[in-house]
Amino acid sequence: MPLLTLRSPHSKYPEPTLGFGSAGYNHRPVRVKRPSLGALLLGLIPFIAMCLSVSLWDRIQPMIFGLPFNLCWLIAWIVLGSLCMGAAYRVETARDRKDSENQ
Amino acid sequence: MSPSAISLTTIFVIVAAGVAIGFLAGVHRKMDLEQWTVGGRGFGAALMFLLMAGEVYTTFSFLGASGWAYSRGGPTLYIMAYLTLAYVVSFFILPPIWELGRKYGMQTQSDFFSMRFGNKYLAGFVCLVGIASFIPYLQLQITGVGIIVSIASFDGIGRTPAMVISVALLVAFVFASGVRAVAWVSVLKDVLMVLAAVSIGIGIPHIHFGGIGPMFAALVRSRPTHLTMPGATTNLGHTWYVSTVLLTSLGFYMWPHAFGAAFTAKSGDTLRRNAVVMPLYTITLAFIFFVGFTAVLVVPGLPNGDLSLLTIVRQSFPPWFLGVIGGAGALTAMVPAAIFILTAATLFAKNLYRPIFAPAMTDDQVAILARVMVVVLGLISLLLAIYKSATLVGLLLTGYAGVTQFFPGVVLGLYWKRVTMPGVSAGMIAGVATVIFLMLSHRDPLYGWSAGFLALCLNFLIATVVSRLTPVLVVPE
Repeated sequence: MPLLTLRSPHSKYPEPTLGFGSAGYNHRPVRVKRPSLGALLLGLIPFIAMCLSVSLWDRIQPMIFGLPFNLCWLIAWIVLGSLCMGAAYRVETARDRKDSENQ
Repeated sequence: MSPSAISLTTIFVIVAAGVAIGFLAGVHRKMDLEQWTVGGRGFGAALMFLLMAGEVYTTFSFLGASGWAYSRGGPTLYIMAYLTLAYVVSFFILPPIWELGRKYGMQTQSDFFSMRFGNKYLAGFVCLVGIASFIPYLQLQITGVGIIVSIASFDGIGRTPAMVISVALLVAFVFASGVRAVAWVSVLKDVLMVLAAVSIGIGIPHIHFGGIGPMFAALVRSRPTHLTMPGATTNLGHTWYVSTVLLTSLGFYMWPHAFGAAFTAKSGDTLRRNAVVMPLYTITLAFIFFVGFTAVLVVPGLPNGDLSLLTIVRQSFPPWFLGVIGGAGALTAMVPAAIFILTAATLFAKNLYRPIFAPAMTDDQVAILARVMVVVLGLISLLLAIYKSATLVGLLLTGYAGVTQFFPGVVLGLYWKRVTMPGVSAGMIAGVATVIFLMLSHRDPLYGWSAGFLALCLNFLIATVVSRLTPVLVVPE
């Protein structure tokens, strides 16, 4: 089932109304693909490394290449985070390909 | 020529080149509303990358990040983490938003709310909060240009005239072109910005200490606590770091312009690939930090940390080089400011004024009203920049506390079948009210937590509970 269809540039959805009561709607169901669990877990890794674990790496020693440890940690995780998202991209595109073959 | 004449001329040439590119990009294209605001929805990966990068590197990262490295120390590292994590978030939410945008012909963030929840007042409220959050962000850019011109003129030109000139140029620039022009000026701006950051990030520690390593060694010796959190502050510790990084990384794509930029992509896949590559761009920030940290030892005691980068550049390099850095900085302020002002003006006309006050307006009339709003918003931000000062980072965080309140509505709207309009509205109103209350009563951070983050949690909770309690009314097809 294709998720999107071609359309004209101007909006086709009905003009919204008040929506508090029976006169309108308060919810248009939209069909979007949920991200796969694998991609979500890969996305969680940089959040743990760069944000939630701050008290483990926020220190100056040992200095690496002359940089304080916390700064060096974050720079390293910019690169590693990008690699995680590269892996997530592969997971998602592999799934998309599989889905379109099954149709 | 005097040093100030040399540096000012250089800045002028760079800004003029940028404006010329902007004008050229606007020629030969018919400017209807869709073309003016979303560039005809035809941006490929390269132009998209530039547009999004154009919004990431603002004066905030140039002067604000170095300013906080100078005045706050360790807490400035949050900027590096949040920009990287913002792209992780974008990987999951932008492609579905793009698909829906194409399906329903959406151009703006508030179109999303009005399509999904069918209520023009909710959509209008989203616009209002978005526009209000833009104002400190716009004020930030204008303040930045004021700082650049007054330091580059060796304090010969006051900040106020400098800010007036920059707003006038900005408005002219936006009028002439629109979003496509802005994307192309980003090319010049980004090349200059990266070159400037790397050259001063390596050059300045080298001139004063013989290298980056020796500079950090000296800083650790003289200020042992400056480089970790809470650094030179008392209340910006680890709790603040975690809550602020979450607030800003979740909120990054809630900025109406960033959200709207997603609609200009050629495909959802473009957006995903951007999310993989863009974090690498954040490494440039490390060089900006090096400059701010060097300035702690070389030019101590400045009244405002935001002056530190340019003050130390002025002290370390010849005037023409100060001009190059200042010119890069001025474009770094003007390109994003153009994007903000364009987005806010279009939101006001198309998503707030027309649906609520004048449903009969034609697209042409909306375009005229949007242009009037460009001028109005420029003037409001200019007045605020002149009469109300704050640090650049402080201004940005205020804006973030506002826009991140859209996050529950967007994510629940995409992925939760049970979410309802009253739920999202109640959550958002509670979140925005909490932010306003905590900010105005100077309670940010509250017990070490970022006020915007606390408001976001409350917002999520209320949106979920109220959605459960209200019936789902599905739109008749």
